[in-house]
Amino acid sequence: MSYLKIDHITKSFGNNKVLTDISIDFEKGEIHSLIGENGAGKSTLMKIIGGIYQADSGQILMEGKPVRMHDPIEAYGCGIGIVHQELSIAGNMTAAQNVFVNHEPVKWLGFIDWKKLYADAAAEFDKIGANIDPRAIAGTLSVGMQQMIEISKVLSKDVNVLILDEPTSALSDNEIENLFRILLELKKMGKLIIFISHKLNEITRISDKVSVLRDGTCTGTLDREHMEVQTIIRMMVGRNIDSLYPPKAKCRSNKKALSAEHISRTGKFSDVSFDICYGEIVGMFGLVGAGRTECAFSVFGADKIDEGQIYLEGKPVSFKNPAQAIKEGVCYLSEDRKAIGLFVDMTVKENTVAACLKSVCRHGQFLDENKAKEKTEGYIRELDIHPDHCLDYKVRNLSGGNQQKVLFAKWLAADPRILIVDEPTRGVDVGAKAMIHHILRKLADAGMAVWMISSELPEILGVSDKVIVMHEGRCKGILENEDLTEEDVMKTAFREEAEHE
Amino acid sequence: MKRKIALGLTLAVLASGLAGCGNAAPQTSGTGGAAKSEELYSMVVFTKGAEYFNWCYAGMKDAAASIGDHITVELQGPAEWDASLEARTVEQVTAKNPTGILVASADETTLNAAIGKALDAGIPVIGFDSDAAESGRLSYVGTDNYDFGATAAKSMAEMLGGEGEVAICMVPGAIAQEERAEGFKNWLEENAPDIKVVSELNDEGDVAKSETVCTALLQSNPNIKGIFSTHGYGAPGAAAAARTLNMLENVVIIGSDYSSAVIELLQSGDIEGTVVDDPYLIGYEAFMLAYAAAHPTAVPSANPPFGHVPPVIYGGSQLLTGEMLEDEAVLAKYQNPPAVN
Amino acid sequence: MNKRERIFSVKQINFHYLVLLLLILIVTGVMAVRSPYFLTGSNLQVLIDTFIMEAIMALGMTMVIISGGIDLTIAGILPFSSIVLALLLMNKVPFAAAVLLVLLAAAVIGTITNTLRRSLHLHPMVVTMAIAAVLKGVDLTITGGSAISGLPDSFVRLGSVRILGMPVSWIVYIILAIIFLYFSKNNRWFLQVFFVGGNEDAARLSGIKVEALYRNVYIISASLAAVAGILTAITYSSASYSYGTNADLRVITTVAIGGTSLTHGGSGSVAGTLLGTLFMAIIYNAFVMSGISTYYQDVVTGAFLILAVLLSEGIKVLKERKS
Repeated sequence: MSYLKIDHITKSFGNNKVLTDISIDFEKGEIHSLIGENGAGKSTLMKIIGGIYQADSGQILMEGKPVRMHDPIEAYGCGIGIVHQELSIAGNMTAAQNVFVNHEPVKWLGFIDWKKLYADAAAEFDKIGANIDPRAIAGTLSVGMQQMIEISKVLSKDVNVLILDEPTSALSDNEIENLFRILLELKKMGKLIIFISHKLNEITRISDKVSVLRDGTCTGTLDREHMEVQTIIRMMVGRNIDSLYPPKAKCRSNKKALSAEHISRTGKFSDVSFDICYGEIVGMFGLVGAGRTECAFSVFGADKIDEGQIYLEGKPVSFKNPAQAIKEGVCYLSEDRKAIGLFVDMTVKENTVAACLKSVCRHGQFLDENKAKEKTEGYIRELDIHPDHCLDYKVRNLSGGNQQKVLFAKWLAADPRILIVDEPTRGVDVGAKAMIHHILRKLADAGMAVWMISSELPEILGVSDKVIVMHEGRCKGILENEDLTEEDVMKTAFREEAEHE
Repeated sequence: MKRKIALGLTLAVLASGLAGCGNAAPQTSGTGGAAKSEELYSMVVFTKGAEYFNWCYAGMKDAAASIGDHITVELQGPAEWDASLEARTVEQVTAKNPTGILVASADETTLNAAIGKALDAGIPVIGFDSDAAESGRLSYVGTDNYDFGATAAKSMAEMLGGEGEVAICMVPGAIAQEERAEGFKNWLEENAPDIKVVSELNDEGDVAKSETVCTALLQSNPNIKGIFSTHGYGAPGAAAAARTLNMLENVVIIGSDYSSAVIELLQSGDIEGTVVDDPYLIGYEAFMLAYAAAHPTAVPSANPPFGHVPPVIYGGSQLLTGEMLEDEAVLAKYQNPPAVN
Repeated sequence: MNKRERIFSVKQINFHYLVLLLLILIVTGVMAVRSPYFLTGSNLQVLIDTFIMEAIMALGMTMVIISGGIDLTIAGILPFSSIVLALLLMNKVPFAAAVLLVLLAAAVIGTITNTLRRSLHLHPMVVTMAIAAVLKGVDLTITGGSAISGLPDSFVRLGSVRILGMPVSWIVYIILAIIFLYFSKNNRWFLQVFFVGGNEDAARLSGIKVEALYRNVYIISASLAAVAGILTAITYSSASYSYGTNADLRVITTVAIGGTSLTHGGSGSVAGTLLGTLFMAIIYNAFVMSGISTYYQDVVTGAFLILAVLLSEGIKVLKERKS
């Protein structure tokens, strides 16, 4: 009988089925990792174990008995605690206060017993060997130390199951070492540690077991003996590619539209180099946090470049702001279309002409309604935006797919030479997805240079002519898309040194 | 540590306040007849910035100047209508130990304590415009507001030929206005019973609000033949409402007090008249009374140790019409409102 | 000192206090020179009296703002409380009972405020503004605009009561200030307000009953406004709907000048508010003492508010941008 058992759990959010009949066994005194691609369901599963969500069906068993946790408090009651990726530290309170929030030692009338608080906090920190001054203001400490405070906070509630969500994403190497030391200590004490990560090397280093999630199910659990990177990757990725993709490039020129040479932005990406030629679609792949959007931002002028140089058709350029980039014909179609792409409360027409106002104005400042109308209707036809009389509809009333098309229209109207699209088919239904891929191919065939950023491997392989593989801020490789498989790409992502083919 | 300093400072201020409490012995200011030492007179009003009070202050300034340049005057008061704030202003002014205080009270009771304290400290207090009758102030200069309202009623009755429905726009609670409304109604009851006051509206003393309520009034009751506003901002609002509804011909509008807006409307004929008192004169007289109270003479006084002053002085009121303004001399008197820095 | 230390450290807060203290000393110095009456006992008394009601309400407002909200109802609760108290007393309700009833009414209003905010998902500024308007309308209807007078003699005499030489309102303020100062540093519930204001979700995940906390915070603020209303009635032996006009702005300015952040919840202090209160009281007194026109008064108050906000927020932003 396993200590903690996930038994046939299913969970949907609306129509979106996130976990499908998933079952995993966890034991005491082990470090058990969960790995999977974005959207595989790791986060949701963890939140169900931690009591933040409730499963639609299936159950959680602790030592054979089913438990039902309606909120994190009840989860603590069962001995389960989560250390979230987003630390819940109050910056202007002391470390000790953060550890014991809501159950500080109190005297009468709710007055805190400061002596005991600091003493207890010091004891908790000793337990995990963390060198933190209980009186220090939490906001002044490093992220690694804050994380240790968070861990102490969870441990102080006497948990037997400690869940860590992507704990190393913000830590320095030293801090990671420290964290692992603590985890091994805890394991010796008999705790169960569930470690969620997408960093293969860490997982293979410290886990006793790893369970691989894919599309909401567990494709298998490996123990230390069988924990090989190849195997893990195969379990993460293997799926049927049954969606239709447009044909490959008709005329890829050798003329370099955009070149990046050794560009870096502190804290976001470093030493990235690649070329994009007219007529081709370059797919930049990476998991969340790989630095792709940051790269695009820096090229587009929305952020700085600390080192390196960008060339437009061979000429060095440096954009101080997006307006300059747009003027030079570089357009960026954002990932989060609502936040930084579309004006959802404005009409389709208004959005379409938003990036090319000059071209639909007369006498410099006044909008020519007819010109704007013509232009918009042209795109509605060309991109097949539904409903076709949506000229004056508010964008927020269109479906996700059609909103995405409006976003396309906006940037196409700005007549770009180089189009950067970031996650172009996120949240879009299958039909619109295919349409957008065709649009991209059409644009490339017409001579545009297309830089597509995506974390969906099938899309990358289906659409791009060549693939830039990003991982943790570095460009791990540039691969020509000839008979390229998903495993090839993942292998490239996870390997240690960058290699260019 | 710094918090302790802050706490310490606060306590220190409190402590000195304590010390001061014990020492608030009455001081008689003004030595009547002695060499001309500097004197300060403060005028405290509610809603500082109102044009009416600016006229009062102009009168006060001129009166002070006519006595000598050793006299300084100042205008104080909260910008919003809050009686407790005005009371506090009186207390603050008292702490400056002025030679005299002139006060127009926001309501009849709230300032009583503050005025009393000033008197106890030996500072003469003269009320004007809006009275705090129970406060013990030495005298009151103002308008007989009943009479004021009666003047308006008389004119309204003449213009309406003795019958019709009328409405009053006012700010309820402002003493002067309550009295004007009373005077208006009483005169009509006694002398023109066929004119009925069918509505009393609250326009919060604001011209935009006045326009709104008058529009609603005229729309719901097209029989209204006349509107009387007890304060200076009502008539322009009523006129705007009537103009929009094209009822200017049918409605007689009589306002109170005057302002540049009202003058223009009188000249164009949109409003038929406005009852005016003389705020300049009121301010002038109030100052003179304060000066007299601060400089007792041989004349036996009703309020020793202050100098003798009569309990009440009423300025009169009269109707000002567009016709009257055609006379250049009259016009000059009502234009060019004084600016107070 | 690394970047994190500079943003969160006590040193930054102390800098703010230092500047405030300096400003206070400068203004005091200038005024003392300009007017011989500034440092007299009677003027210092008046200085405190002028701002004592706002001082009381600022204590509650500090907690509301730290929790991430704002409370504009106080401008309506103050006159409302004075009026209800007056009416109760005139109907022969014993004083203690009347006070309790008024405080209870305020607590109810605070609860309603919070419920509306939560269930309608409205910004606290909108909700509290609306409730204040409703209350003022009620006040006007009840009183017809005139002040209520003719209160029982025993009550009128309360206005002259002096304990240790100080009026009742001062005593009440001192007690409240000490309570708030001490509790906000040492009481678990008060400290939780900082947690909730800093990161509501994290606080909830830590088990703090967030909704109850918000409700209590608004109840406290409303109750203090009621206390101010009661004390105003005592001081002037009168009640009127005109009391408390724009008091909300003065109170919020006080809290902001004291260093509590209006935009980021979770940071601020009662001690800062006390300093801010001292500063505002001196400034308002200085205005009258020096005879500055009311128009400039608003400009000056606004300038100080900008200065205060710059001190507490701007330095943080500048330093974050540099690194």
